[in-house]
Amino acid sequence: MLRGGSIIRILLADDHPLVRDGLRSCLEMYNNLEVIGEAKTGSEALEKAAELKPDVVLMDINMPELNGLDATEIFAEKHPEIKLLILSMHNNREYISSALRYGARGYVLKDVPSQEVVAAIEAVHMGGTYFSSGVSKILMAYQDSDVEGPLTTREQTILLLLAEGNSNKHVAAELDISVRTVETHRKNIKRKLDISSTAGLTRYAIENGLLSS
Amino acid sequence: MNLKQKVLLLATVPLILAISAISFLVTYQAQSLAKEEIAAFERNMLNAKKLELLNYLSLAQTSIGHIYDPANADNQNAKEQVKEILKTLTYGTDGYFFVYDFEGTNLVHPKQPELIGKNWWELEDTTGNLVIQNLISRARDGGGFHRYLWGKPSSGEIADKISYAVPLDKWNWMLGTGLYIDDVISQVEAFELEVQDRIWQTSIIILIITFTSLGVVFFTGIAINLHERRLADVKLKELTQRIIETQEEERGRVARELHDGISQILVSIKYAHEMALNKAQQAEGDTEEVAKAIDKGANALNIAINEVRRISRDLRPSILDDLGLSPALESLAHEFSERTDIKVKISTVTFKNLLPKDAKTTLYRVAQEALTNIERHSNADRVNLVLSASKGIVTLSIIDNGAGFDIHHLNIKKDPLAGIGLRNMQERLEHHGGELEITSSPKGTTIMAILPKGILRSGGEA
Repeated sequence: MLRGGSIIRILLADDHPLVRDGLRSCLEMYNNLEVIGEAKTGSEALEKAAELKPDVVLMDINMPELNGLDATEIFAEKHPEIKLLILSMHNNREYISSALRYGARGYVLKDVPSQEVVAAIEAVHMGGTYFSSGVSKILMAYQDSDVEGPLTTREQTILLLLAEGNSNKHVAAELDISVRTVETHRKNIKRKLDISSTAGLTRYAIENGLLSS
Repeated sequence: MNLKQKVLLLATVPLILAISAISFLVTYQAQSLAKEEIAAFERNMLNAKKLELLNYLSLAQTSIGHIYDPANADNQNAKEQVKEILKTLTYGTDGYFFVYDFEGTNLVHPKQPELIGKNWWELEDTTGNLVIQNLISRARDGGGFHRYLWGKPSSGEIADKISYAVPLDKWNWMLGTGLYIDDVISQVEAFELEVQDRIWQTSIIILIITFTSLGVVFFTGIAINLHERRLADVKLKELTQRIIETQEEERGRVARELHDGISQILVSIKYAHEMALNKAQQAEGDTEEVAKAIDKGANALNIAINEVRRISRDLRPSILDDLGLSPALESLAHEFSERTDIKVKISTVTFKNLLPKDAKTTLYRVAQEALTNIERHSNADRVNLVLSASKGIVTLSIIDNGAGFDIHHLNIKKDPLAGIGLRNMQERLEHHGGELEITSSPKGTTIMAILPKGILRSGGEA
């Protein structure tokens, strides 16, 4: 299975030790893969990633403190170079489409054979996307009806900060991200809500109970 | 302090205050009235005595008039004659006349002759009253009354006395007579005692009334409380029974799912593994057969995993916590459509996780219950599911185009769960201060769950 080139360094994020152990022993059978760390929560994954600089993070969704989806979104912001692969039990369309919107490169169900997990890791590491067989079927079935989804957790946080009258710079400092990232989020929020002005955002936030008037 | 104590306090404190005020007023009124009466009585008695004194004195003046009037200032003979007359004039048991000159020297005193000839200008009674000085001064003023303490001739005891003194100007004499008024004082005292007695009696009656009223309030309170508690107990028992039934039903369902689904699959995996083991142990065993058996086991494992996923999703949809209410409702609607072929059109709000966790669960369960009812009873083929938040009020509406039902005559006998389901939804919403509105006609049913303003972000994470 060795493909020429470098070894893929992997961080495992899952709150079940048995699953982490099983995955680790499966992955370590492959010479081109190396598990460099494990994390039990989303926030621990973020800390470990900042320290270990993995190539790929295998992320579970149901985790305490910070769940895998919200962690994925922050990964996309702070470590865009790290590829996120969701490994989950959930086969709902809502989970899968959310994972994509939050910035995951692939989505693999936990019940697939381990070869498929390896294939997925390799695919996202090469810069591609990967959905395990069950997942792509679910995504295809709803493709036509899939409209623009609701705001992500991050977008919602940023909307709240902007609606409170904070500047882009202030929001960037508050969330420890770049001003450019805030700018991108802001553009996405405005597009999703079909609002052109900051005053409009504030009004929207108040009317929907996000902000008290 | 609990409500019961507050109500009791509310009932008793005004009662006690009112009764205290009334008894104070009554006592005060009675006392001041009695004081006036006693004063009037004393005044009348004293006036009668004074009138008596005036009469006695004019009698004495008449008796000495024939000697005093014609006599001049230095007529010693006339003076002696007058002294003699006055010495013999007495009335009643303790009535007599006394004479002093203006310097305070006693000239006549029939009851205490030892006083005669001595000067009593400085005489004081036990209260510090300069008796003789005052009497002389009344006389010099032309005549007047003076009250003081003096020994009673008949018994020798000190008693209140009132005297009237007039001048015999020609001789610089003071003529006076007095009456003991201890009888008046003792009558007044008796009167006062009687009044005090009456007030005391009234107070006791008021006290008895107070305690009776308080007793009535307390016992009525306790009786009402017992009754209420009994009613609450009955309700609680019903509720507990319902909870137990629901719980048992749910447990039974989970147990069935585990037994019929998971354990059967696990058993098949066990067989597959045993077969693989058998094959592997046979020396001439075909590795392909072993692989096939293990593969079969792995496949069955996948089925078991899917089963567990389905069961756990039914028990508690984790999507609600991970992604929020909107995606959870969407997921619910998709699954419902797939299972029943009833079309669901869904529109939801943009924000997620603004609601507190249990409010989210409540709305999710309302939607679940409504969809279940639609599937079971309505014959609808289209459902609209709308989640909206406007001005802080969150509304979830489930509208179907089915046959509808009569809200007031649910056929509980036929399906006891239908009634319980609706009541359950209502209770869940009321817990959050919200309400459930149901309108139904033969053209369809609308169920609206409304959560009040202020539910957003109260505990929800933005």
